[in-house]
Amino acid sequence: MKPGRKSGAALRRLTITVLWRRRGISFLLAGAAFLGVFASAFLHGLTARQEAAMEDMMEHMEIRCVVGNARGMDTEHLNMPSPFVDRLTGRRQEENLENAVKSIRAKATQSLSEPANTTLRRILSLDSDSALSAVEGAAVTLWEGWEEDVFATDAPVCLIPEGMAQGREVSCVTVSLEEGESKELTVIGTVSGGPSDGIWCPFYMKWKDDENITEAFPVDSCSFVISDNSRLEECKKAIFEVFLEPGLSAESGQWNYSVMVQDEIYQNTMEEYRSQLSMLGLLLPVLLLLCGGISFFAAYLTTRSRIREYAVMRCLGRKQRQIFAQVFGEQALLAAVGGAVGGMAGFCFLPPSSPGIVWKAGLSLCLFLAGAAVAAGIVSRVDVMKWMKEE
Amino acid sequence: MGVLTVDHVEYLYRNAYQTVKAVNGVNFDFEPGCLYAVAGASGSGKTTFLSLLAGLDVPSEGRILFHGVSMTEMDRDEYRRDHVSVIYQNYNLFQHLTVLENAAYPLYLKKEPKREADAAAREKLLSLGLKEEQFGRLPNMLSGGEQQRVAVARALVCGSEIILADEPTGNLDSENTKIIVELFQELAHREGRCVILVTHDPEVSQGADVILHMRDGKLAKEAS
Repeated sequence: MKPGRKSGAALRRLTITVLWRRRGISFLLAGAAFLGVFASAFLHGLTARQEAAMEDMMEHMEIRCVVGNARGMDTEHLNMPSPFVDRLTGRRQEENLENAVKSIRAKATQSLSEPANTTLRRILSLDSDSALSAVEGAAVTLWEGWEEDVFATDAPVCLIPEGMAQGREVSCVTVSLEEGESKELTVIGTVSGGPSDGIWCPFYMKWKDDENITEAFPVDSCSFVISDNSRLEECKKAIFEVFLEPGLSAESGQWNYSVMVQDEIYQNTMEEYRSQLSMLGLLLPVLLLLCGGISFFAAYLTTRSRIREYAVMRCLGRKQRQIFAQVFGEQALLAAVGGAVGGMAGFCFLPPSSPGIVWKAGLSLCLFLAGAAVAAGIVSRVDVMKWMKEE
Repeated sequence: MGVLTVDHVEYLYRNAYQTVKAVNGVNFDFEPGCLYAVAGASGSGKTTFLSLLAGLDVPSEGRILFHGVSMTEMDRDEYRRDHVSVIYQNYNLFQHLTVLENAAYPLYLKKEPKREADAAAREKLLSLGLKEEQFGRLPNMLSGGEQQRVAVARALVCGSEIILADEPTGNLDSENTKIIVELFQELAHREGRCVILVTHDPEVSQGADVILHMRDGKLAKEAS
């Protein structure tokens, strides 16, 4: 600045100096702004976290449904016609549940006359038979070039117990039903440590290659997972319609099964999340109002305590709008400092995952500034005559 | 016509219960280079009258003219900033500003550069007997007499042609009272300013060129 040139720099510098000299009050006001912004950021982060956890759970948690008999007591010997499973897998066009379920497991057992004393176990995936799981101590070795997915097809392949192979390279095995139908299956691997009487083949393996669709056979067990947890109720309704309503065969009316939807943990956890979110949803406006109220009164009371000072300024020729600008400017500066620190602290504590934080923190600051504006408006209209008369 | 002309001025204080006529039909011409004392009992309307002269409000009836221009027609904020200075009994210093900043404040308001404003304030404070080492102190670290001298320095620093003082010696001992009265006489007689004191101290009144008495809002000039 050139010497002698007029400017309001001296007054502006003085305003900052006074804020520093009254630092106790300044910290209090900046603290109110800090509190508002930090609390908004904190609650927002908390809400975002809960929402993310809820979405994650909705997306990834497996709700398994297990089909049981009519009384729900037996889930391993259903004797259920295989078309029920067809509906789940989408092999039948009518009323299929392809969009409602996934990870279907089903097992059917048929006694074989050849090889003697063995059973044919139809499975949709290796998980379908608990005897094949690692828990049971069995180990499945798939030979090179074969994947587990083959069990979801109708390929004429099978797994044989290691004992049946007796160390030899067995490429195929002929199986015959007790009724006499035979089929040559390609061996794609062995099972060790599991039951020695089972031969595992794909669920939809056909006895006759020219069959359009696998003939019906009784299914021992069946379970599946809800495909989209966000449509849980809709999926459950569709599933119940299939399994609880009669009408799949000529003897319609006999087929009644139960479906145990293992969604208790999911429902309880979701309910907990929902109640936490609704509490946070209520808490945020309350907190914003509280912080706004605190800010308002802090701004108003500290400004009000200096009313004589502003009256003297008016006496010395300061205009009403200049007083307003000074008071509001002081508060805005403190709000900016407190808000910036509060915002940074909030971000450090809980990183926000959506831009909603900006308006929530902004709203908190706006409440503070509204309080400051009201306070500035009141003191700028100070009755100078009255204050100058009061000694 | 004087520097300030008071023309049939009335001022009413109103509240929900009553209306009080604090100033009642006052007429007077205040001349430059003259020291006036307005005496009167408490509640007689002295301070209200002084506040009207300071442009803090406008009369309910009548008008106050500054160099012939009615206060209702001028920017009274500018009038207070550029033409009139007021000194109060309780000093009304800014408690968070230093002595020097208090004295220089009117110049800061006029957007004078800080260095020049501070230099002018320093000169005025030294001329009023304050010491350089006191300039950085806050007002509450000074005695009553010293604070009043800072208030006087603030009033004089921008060279206003009208000085108004409301009981300026009310909190001072007799020695300091004498100094302040002599200072006002000097301002009026040597610098040609119009100085108007409100006081109920006869000792102060005696030092004035013109003594005015205020009773029930009416102003009367004391026969010389």
